[in-house]
Amino acid sequence: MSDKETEYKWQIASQADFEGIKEALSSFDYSCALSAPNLLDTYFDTPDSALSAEKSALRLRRIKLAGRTRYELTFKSASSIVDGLARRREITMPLNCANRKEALKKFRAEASALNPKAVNLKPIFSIENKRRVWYIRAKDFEAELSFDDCLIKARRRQRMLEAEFEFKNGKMSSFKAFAARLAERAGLKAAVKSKVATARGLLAEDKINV
Amino acid sequence: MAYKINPDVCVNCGACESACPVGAISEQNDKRAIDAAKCIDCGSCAGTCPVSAIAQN
Repeated sequence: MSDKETEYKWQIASQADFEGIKEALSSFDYSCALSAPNLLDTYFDTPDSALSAEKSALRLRRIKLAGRTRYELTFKSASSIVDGLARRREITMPLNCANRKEALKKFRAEASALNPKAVNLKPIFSIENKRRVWYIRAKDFEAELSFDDCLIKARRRQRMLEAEFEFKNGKMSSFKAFAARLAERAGLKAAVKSKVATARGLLAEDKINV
Repeated sequence: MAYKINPDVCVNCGACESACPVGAISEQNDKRAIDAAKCIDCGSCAGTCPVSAIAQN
């Protein structure tokens, strides 16, 4: 179980931007492995939106990869962002379940154990994500570069593209230097809104329009 | 649409409608049906159906 997430999020406007990052990466010294999971992330909150109020999030993730399906629970605390680098406490645990019905049951039980406020949970939105991941191993750090092609479902739908560069282990200073050079060469800009913030924005607009 | 109600199995009990967090399920011709445009694929309906009439497409 990991307990921290440290990552850059970059705006992506089109598929061409993904290709631009891959091209920029070709000039770096690293090795990598690739993966392309299909993710379905369902976010939950209490009836009085206690988790949104404290800027935390609870997620049930379904991961389909290479013909196998598995489920994970993730609790994310509010994040702090400095120079485009977001840090937050994040707890992820596998839910060893055969199907979604079992996963939902286990998710609710584990969620309330993680956060006492997480009771009477209701799904509030989902995000379908066709993710492509580059597991990058550089000289003195390891990281994951993810290209996300998402469909946010929060009553209304919104497509969103994003790139994330997440530190895994090694020297943080080397990771930051790598990220800075990559952002410069590929012309990347920090994401203005996360996927979760975008979904919450859609929900808020719906409330205003009612 | 990720979830669909099998009308041949549905007993129209309404449990799924109560469980749906986005109001995507309503009664149509004495059965329940899912509005694909509203559904967020959370699976709450399938989890609550007493006769397993709801499954992913």
